[in-house]
Amino acid sequence: MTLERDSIKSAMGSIPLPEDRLDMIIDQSVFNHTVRKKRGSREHVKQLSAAVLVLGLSGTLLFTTPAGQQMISYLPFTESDFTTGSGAGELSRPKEAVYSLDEEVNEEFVKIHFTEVSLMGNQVDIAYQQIVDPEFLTEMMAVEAELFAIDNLGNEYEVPYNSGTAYGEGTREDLHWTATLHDLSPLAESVTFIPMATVSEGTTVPDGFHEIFEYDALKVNLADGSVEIVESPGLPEGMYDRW
Amino acid sequence: MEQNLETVRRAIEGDRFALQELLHIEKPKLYRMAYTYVRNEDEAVEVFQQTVLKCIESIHQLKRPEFFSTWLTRICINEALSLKRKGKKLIHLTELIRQSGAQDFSGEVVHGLDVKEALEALPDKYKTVLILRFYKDLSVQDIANVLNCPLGTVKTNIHRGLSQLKTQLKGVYEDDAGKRFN
Repeated sequence: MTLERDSIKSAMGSIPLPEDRLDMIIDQSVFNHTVRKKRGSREHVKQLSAAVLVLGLSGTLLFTTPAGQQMISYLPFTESDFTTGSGAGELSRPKEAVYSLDEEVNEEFVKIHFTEVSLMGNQVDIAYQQIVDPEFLTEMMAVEAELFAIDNLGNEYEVPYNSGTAYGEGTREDLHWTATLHDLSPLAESVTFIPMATVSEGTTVPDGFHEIFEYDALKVNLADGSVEIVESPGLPEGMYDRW
Repeated sequence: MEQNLETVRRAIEGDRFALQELLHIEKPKLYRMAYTYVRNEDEAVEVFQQTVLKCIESIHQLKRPEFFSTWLTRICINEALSLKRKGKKLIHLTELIRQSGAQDFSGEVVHGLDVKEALEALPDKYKTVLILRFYKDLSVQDIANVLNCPLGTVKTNIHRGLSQLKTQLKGVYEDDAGKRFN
């Protein structure tokens, strides 16, 4: 095994290192790259400060803002029917469901096609495709469609994708993505997915361009899976500063 | 090693200078691993950059400092495979030439392959275990952890990977390099 080890180490060691490029990446990234924070916690504080609760004499909740609803849901002794008013102690959405979708949004030369949303407790998985018009795709161009989300209570979520796989006979940038929203508010009844596509000439092209495409959003009713394309609530802050 | 562990701890706690030092140490192996998957400098650099960025973004979540290098390796492999998946329909002409030159139609190995090229030409699953075992010096158990697969699979893939390397190199060299695999 030592001989194999020596041979492989020697072979690997013969790959020339572009030292300058790698050093520049490390030195610039380490000190310039801003680590993305979870938006939930920051927004949560803002929302709590804006929560309004109106309680009756008997302690019955008469009125609350959405933020107040969410705040109550975090309290350990709170039953969900207290905030939903349903009295049945059940959420208005199923705990598990899979909804097939066939909705598209289009911007410039990148189309996003939503194919499925599934619920699993407080986790929402979404599957979508990015479809790039081959007439515009250059050899060095990279396209990456990603999603953000906001629920009907105003909570914002990151929806990081899990993996992208090529499919069909389209361009090399035609990819099928799955992405997951975690920690959905237990009181959310709908989620609006906000797509964004980043089109760039990669990180290795000097002065290569990069551009962000914003799209209309997809609103999903979590109770029955009905959807509608709506005007985008806007991308989270700082999306244009990532480059 | 102890010093490295302390540096990793500082990096986990947010010390960017410590992280910079660690990344410079890991740089050669990360880049070379990336290169064996994508086989060209620009894409290997891209994989390296994505690995660095992911490391910066999530090092605070690393629970055990002693696994820093292994953890980084896993990120690098995932990034390389992801890039390959994205670009798999784009087959470079040079690669086609290389592939057609590797074997003739009778299946006989054509002379001229060296260990590096033979390693690069291996299927990813074999290449990965051989690099982790013989280049990164990971134990079989650690490889199983990195790849999240059973121990037996790792052993099988190492065995098959070495066999394929031997086949590709058989008869090519009469010197020491050839004997190593025969």
